[in-house]
Amino acid sequence: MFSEVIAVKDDYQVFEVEVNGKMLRGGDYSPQEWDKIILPLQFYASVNQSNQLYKTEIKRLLHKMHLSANDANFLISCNYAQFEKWYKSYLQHITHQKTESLSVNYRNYKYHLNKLEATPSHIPLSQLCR
Amino acid sequence: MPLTEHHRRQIIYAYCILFYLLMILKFWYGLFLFQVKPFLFNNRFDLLTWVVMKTGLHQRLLDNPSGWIAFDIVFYSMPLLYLLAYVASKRSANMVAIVMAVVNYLYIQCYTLYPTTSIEGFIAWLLFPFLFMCINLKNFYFILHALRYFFLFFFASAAIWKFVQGGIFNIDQMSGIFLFQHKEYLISSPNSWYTSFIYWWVAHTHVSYLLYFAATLLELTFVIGFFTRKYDRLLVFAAILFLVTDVFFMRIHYWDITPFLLTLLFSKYSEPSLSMNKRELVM
Repeated sequence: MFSEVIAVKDDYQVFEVEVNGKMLRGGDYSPQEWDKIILPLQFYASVNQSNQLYKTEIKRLLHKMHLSANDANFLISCNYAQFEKWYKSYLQHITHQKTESLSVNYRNYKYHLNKLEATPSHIPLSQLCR
Repeated sequence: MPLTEHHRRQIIYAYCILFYLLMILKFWYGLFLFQVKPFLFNNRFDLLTWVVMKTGLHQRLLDNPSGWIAFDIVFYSMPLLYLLAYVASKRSANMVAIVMAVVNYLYIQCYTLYPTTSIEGFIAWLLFPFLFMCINLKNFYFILHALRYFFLFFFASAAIWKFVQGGIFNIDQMSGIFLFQHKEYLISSPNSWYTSFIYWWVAHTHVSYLLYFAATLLELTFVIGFFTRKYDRLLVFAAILFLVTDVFFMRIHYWDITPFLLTLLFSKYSEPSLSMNKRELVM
C-alpha cells in the first residue's frame, strides 16, 4: 500500500458534502463513519471507470478462459436521482439528522503555503457520472 | 516441545475471541452489511472476485435489506458453529470449516465490492478456514506454518514493493500520502487539532519521510521470520505497533489481520510426532 511514488501536488480534487446547508466536518466523525460518508461518493464517481474496466479487460479475460460473462452482473448505470435518494437516507443514519437538502461538489483545491485552499472550479456530483 | 491438541484448542478459542471482539467493533462502527446498506459496487481486477460476480450474488444484495441481514447472520455465526462442532467432534468440525471457507469467501468478496474497505484487510478470515479443515494435527501444524509464512510475506512484500515502485526513493512521499489520504478531512475541519497535526507533518517533509522510512524498515524486518522463528514475539510487537500507528496517522483500521498473530505466537512448538497424531485421532 502506498508503494508507488506519491508526490505533493499543486491541485487536489476534493469532495465537499453539504447537508442542510452545512458542510460535514471530518472531525465530527470517527474514521469509519467518515469513510462511510466519502467512499460511496468515490464509488459513484468511478462508475464509468469501473464499467470501462469490465468492457476492456474483464470481459476479454473471462472470454479467454472460456467463461461466459453476463454484462448485467458487471455493469452499473449512472442514475443520479436514485443515488441521491439513497445517499440522503443513508447519511441520516450516520449524521443522526434528517437530510432535508444535500449538495455534493467535487472541488479543486490548491496546495499553497502549507494549506489546501478552495478554488471556484468545481463539478457537481450529478455531473461526475454521466 | 511439540504442538499438541491443547495448543490447537487454544488457537481455535483465540481465533473465535478475536473474531467476535472485532464483530462487536464492526457493529459499533456500523460496518455490518445491513448497516452499510450497499447500493452500488465497483469492479476490480481479481479473477476470484469475477467468479463470484458471474453468479450475480452481489447484484442481488443491492438494496436488499433482508439479504443483508441473512448474509450477516450466516457470516458472523460461522466461527461459533465451528467451535460447537469442534467440541462435539473433529470430523464434523472439518465439514463446518469447509462451509465456513465458502461463506467467508462469498461474504467478503461481495462486501468489499461495495464502498466499505479493501479485501486485503479480510485475508485472515479467508485463509484461516483452511487451517480449521485439518483433522490431523500434523496437517494443522503445517497449515499453521503456511499461514505464518503468508503473514511474513504480507508485510515483507509491502516493503519490497516500496523499493520496486519507487516510493522509498521519494523524499516527498509521506507528505504526499498525508495530503492524498486526509484531503477531505483537512478541508472540512480546518480548525481541528488533527488537521494542524497533519499539516505539520506535510510541511516537515524530511521528518515525515523518516516516518515512511521507519514503516518500510518495520515491514522489512518480517523477512527475518523466513530464516528463524527466534524473533517471532518481536514480530508480534512490530505488527501491533504498525497497526496502532496506522490508526493514528492514517485513520486506517486493519485489525482484521490480527488472527495472523496467532501463527507467530504458536510457532515455537515443533512438529507433532506421528504417535501423538494417532492418539489424538483415536480420542
